[in-house]
Amino acid sequence: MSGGYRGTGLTQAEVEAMTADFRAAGGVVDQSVDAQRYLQARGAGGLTLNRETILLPANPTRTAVFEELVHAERFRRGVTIEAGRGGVLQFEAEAAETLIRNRHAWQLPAEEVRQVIENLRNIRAELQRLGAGQ
Amino acid sequence: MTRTITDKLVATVIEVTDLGQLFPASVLKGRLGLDVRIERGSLSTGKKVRLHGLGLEEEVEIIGIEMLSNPHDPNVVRILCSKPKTLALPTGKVEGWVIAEQ
Repeated sequence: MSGGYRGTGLTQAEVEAMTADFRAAGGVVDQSVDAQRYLQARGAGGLTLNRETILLPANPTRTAVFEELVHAERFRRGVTIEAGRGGVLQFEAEAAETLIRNRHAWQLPAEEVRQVIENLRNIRAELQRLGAGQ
Repeated sequence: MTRTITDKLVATVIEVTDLGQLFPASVLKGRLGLDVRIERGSLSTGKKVRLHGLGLEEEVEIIGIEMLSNPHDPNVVRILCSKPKTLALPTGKVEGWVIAEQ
């Protein structure tokens, strides 16, 4: 998930280029009006549902697109959520760590990376509060 | 490894959203959103579970798990399921509904 990073929105051509490999492997990137309505309803700047389904707004940020691709890749390796472990927080933390680690290779804007770092701090604090560990 | 009964998924359904009806022109078509709290076992996509409540039940498949943390309760997770063919499920906050792995 990305709660919607503040930053420069990508063009459709840029989104298509970034998601080309994912789509070539059978993935679906839904940017339909209904998908965007759902993202708004959920307060999300992007959403991954499984290994092959991503919802994106019309002009997502570069960081949001990479975050959803990271989630989809995580689904490919297997996602299992157990009772009392903080739901999907652990996977959000993993995705944020991956974004930070690859920020240079993926040319993520510094302002968006700062938001990822802040999100990660909040997620870790929440995991600690829940006693869910890392 | 021998699988015990406690490994099997049991989750309480907190809220039901007919995503297919609300967002029909998207990948959500024909899907049901269930906000669930896992009581036992684990949740993963592809798992087939029995959705039951009010003396009724039907098998549904977990098609997706939203990678979006619930701000009010992180232990509540929204899953996307195939829509039951015969079960008439209420929408909104619900009580007495459970998904369970057989």
